[in-house]
Amino acid sequence: MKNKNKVEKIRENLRYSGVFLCLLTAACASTSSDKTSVENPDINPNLEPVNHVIYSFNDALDTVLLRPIAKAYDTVVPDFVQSLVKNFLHNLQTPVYIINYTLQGEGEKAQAAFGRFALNTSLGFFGIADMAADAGIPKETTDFGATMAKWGYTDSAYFVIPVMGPSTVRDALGKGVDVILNPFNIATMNPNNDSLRTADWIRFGVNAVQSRASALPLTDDIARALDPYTTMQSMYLQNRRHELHLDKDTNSYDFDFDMDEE
Amino acid sequence: MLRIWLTLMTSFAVSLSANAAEVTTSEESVNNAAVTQSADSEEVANEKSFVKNLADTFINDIFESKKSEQEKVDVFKDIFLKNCDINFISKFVLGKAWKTASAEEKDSFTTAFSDAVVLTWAGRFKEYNGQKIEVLTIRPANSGQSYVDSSVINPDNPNDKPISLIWRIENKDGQYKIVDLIVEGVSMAMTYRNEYLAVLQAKGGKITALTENLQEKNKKLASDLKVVLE
Repeated sequence: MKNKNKVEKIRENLRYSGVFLCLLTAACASTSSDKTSVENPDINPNLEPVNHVIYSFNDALDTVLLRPIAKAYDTVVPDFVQSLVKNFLHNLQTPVYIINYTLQGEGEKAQAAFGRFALNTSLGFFGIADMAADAGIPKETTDFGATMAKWGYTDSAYFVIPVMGPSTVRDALGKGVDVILNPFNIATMNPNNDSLRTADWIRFGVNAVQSRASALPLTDDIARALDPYTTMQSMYLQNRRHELHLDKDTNSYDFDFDMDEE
Repeated sequence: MLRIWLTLMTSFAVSLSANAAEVTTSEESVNNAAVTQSADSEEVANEKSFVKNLADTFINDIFESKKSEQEKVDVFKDIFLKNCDINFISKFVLGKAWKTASAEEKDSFTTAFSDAVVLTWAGRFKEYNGQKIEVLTIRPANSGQSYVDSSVINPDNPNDKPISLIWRIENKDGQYKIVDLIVEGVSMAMTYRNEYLAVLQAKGGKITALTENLQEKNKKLASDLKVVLE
């Protein structure tokens, strides 16, 4: 009986993520793969009205709820404790890095991630202390969006995820997959264990507050712009391309200042 | 059992870090060899010191100084106007709209844009947290310009990956000037261009509308910071 519930609950979770993935794929299908905006190839004009609406919603939610909480966290919690929290959360996410680096064929990085995970979980109090940093093991992160980019899904339209913020269609899909890829998530989806589910919610909340707090200098900066939506969009897309090493031969910043003379 | 597992993990991690150390030391010796083989040409050395001096000036005279907010902003504006080719950047930022603009429109926009940049930077002064800037290499860019690669290291988290900061500079009649700053792949010039193009589109292409919006925003930013820009 218990096993049946467990399986059903996992199926339910998968069904929800499946619906989410389907919606996004539908969004994909409706956006053609032709590069649509002349100025910026990563923008699909058909998706922009939707993006603006989601952005406004996110902005309101942020002003009212997320930012005040994150600001309080940043002010009250000492820096070194914030580091410990960051380390712990990073460690919990490491299985996702290991899997994705392996899928990308980045053997060395997968190994480094595994080494960090093993060392920090065992000797670093389940990831709170970053012993691996002292041992000189490099700290790098990745996600399924990056994996898809490596596999050839290189161009993707800007898409604002509700609550979570700027992304692309590909990377939003990637985030969905990453949730399922993390064994810690699968374990905590157990419906029979209340404390595990609570732990899952706590982790979700802490993660949200911690990432929002880390982003405070940047978002406050964007808020000072004349057009925050476009500023955020431009910065996100440039940075993501850079992060994914998509412009191998030329960087997106290699533009010619005289480009309008043509 | 636990002890055996711990020993295995530790030795695995240690061998990983030994590999990492090996890699870095062999990289270092190659780099050292390269450096001793070809000392920087005069041009390269000049470009590096231009950026180094500018970074030092920002840190010492502004970020870490005990001056008042107003003084910091005044000093920053001076240095900015002197070391940044704002006319060149304004032309790029407005794109095709620059061609059909009158001299007066161009002037007003350039002033408003320049003030906007100064005020945005002024809002960032308090974020400075002791970061160190290390000038690394020079690479050629388009139109006879150069990229000066530098990295920003946070002394609080020295193990984190350093932030890449690239200074794109031009040599204008013997004087170096900044034409772009690229942080982790994000070009400031391109970001402004995308932003203002969107604003122009919303305002039916009227540069005066964009300039007015900028002037309004500048007033608000200045009053938030409790400073005055002449």
